[in-house]
Amino acid sequence: MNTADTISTHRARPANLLWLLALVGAAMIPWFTGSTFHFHIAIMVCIAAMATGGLAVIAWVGQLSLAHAAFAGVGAYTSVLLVTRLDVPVLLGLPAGGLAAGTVAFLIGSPLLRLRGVYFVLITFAMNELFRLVMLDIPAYSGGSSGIVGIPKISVFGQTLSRHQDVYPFMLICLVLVMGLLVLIRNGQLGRRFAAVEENLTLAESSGIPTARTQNLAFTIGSAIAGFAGALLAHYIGFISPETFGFQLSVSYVIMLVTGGRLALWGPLVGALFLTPLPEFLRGAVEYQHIIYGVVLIAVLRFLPQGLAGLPAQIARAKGGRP
Amino acid sequence: MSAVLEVSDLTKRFGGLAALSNVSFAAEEGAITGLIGPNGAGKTTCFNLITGTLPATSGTIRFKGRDIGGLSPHQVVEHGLARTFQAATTFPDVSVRENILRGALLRHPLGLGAAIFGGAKARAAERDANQTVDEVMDALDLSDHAERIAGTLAYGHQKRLGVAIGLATRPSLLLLDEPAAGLNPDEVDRFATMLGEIKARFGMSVLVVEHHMRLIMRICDQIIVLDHGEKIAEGAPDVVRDDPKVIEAYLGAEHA
Repeated sequence: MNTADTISTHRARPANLLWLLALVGAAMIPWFTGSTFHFHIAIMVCIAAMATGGLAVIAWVGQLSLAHAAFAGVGAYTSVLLVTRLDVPVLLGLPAGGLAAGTVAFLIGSPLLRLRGVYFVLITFAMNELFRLVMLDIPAYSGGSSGIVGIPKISVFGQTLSRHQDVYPFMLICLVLVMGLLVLIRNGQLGRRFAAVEENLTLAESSGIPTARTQNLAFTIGSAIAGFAGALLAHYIGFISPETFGFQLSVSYVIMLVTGGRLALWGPLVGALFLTPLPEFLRGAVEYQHIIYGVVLIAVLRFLPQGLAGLPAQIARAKGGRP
Repeated sequence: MSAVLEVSDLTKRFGGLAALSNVSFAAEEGAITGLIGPNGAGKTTCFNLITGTLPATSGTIRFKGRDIGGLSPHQVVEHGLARTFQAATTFPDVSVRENILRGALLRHPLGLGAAIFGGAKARAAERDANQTVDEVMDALDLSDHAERIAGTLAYGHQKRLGVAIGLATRPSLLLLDEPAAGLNPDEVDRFATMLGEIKARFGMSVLVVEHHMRLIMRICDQIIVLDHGEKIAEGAPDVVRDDPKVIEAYLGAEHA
């Protein structure tokens, strides 16, 4: 952390501290209200924030993956199958899910990442559909369209986390670890490489940065995080099917990322925090979730191009003081 | 003097069009070599082939005695051959220092672990890289602008920043693509002086594509003239200047 601090002293500003306090405050809400429903939402926020965090790593090298749900699915199925078929402890299944998703991403990354911009978006969209269709075709492993039910809950040191308020601290720890990894990546040498590739690919390559390998690395790390989050989701909800990890989930992650701020470090967290509870609190409007997301996305793109995480800076600019 | 870069029989065809045909030349160690010619002569194509941006149709490119044909651009830079671009090409959203640091990464690489988790090794690399950046900024007179956002700099400064990013990769040969384009006469003079200084200070050779004849004649030790993808002349500035074939290429036959 020391290096990260010296490298980017400009990042350690009061505004960041304020963000951190607000986030900690938001994380405490379920404990204050004591409501099971609030614990559930908070857990879903944690999972969504992790998955979106993975997507952010990919966005940092200038690519947008629409296969993110499929990688969450790879992680989920890996962990679930290891736990149910081979009696692997859930605590090992979770990282194994991340590892499996990362491995798949690494293998398909180098051909896919030759495509850029909208072509990469389209091919990853196709990959997500491919994942769903293939999984539906192997019901022996995937449970087919009826899915797998009764997935074992997360257990830590023999203690099964069956109640929502027990799962939540575990999810928070996972989220802190994932966000910590993001901070380290962002502030270290890797972050500098990623930013160079994102900002000017041609110049980055001509400055000696292996752009193809760098993008593949980001794709691998980001997809591994998705796999880990997917595994967490499976063991928390207790049910998965190929449809769980369909294209709509990928779109949700993209919308959360863009809403939070595509390139902002705290973007994924802010986006998940804002968008996960939104449809839940508008009960009866759950079927309109994607309409709500769509409206939010349009509003953000129009009025907040830096996302919600960029809002304070934008307000400061509007007040007249140049940042 | 020995050649740092030897290009032999370099050919590039785009479909039926030969952008470059059988061009051979050498850039001498420690010298400034100019590559000139009218528009469409194949100068930038030649640059793109040397730097690995485009694959050559045939021919060989030897850099410091090693064949670098078929390498990707970042590998070519790793061998010590850096380039700048015709337009001012920078990372526009970050500071001048950050721009140059990105170039300096190449000579201060870290393993994946150190790159993510930091530690003493990462701190040392960061310190060394910043030293390189300070040196480069000093050489190119950019120190006063270290914390400015690159995109907000004047055009002339942005072009200099492009050179600075290339310099930070510690090249033994620097390829400059029209460094004077878009600069005013004062800036061109200043750039000429600066180029001589950085060449001596960093002990490198330079290959420069340029339209600005006064600049070329002033700074180059050796000039290669291309026209319609072929080499038509080669030699010291005053020899090339009086070569009838060169005058014909630039001004038309009636002036020769």
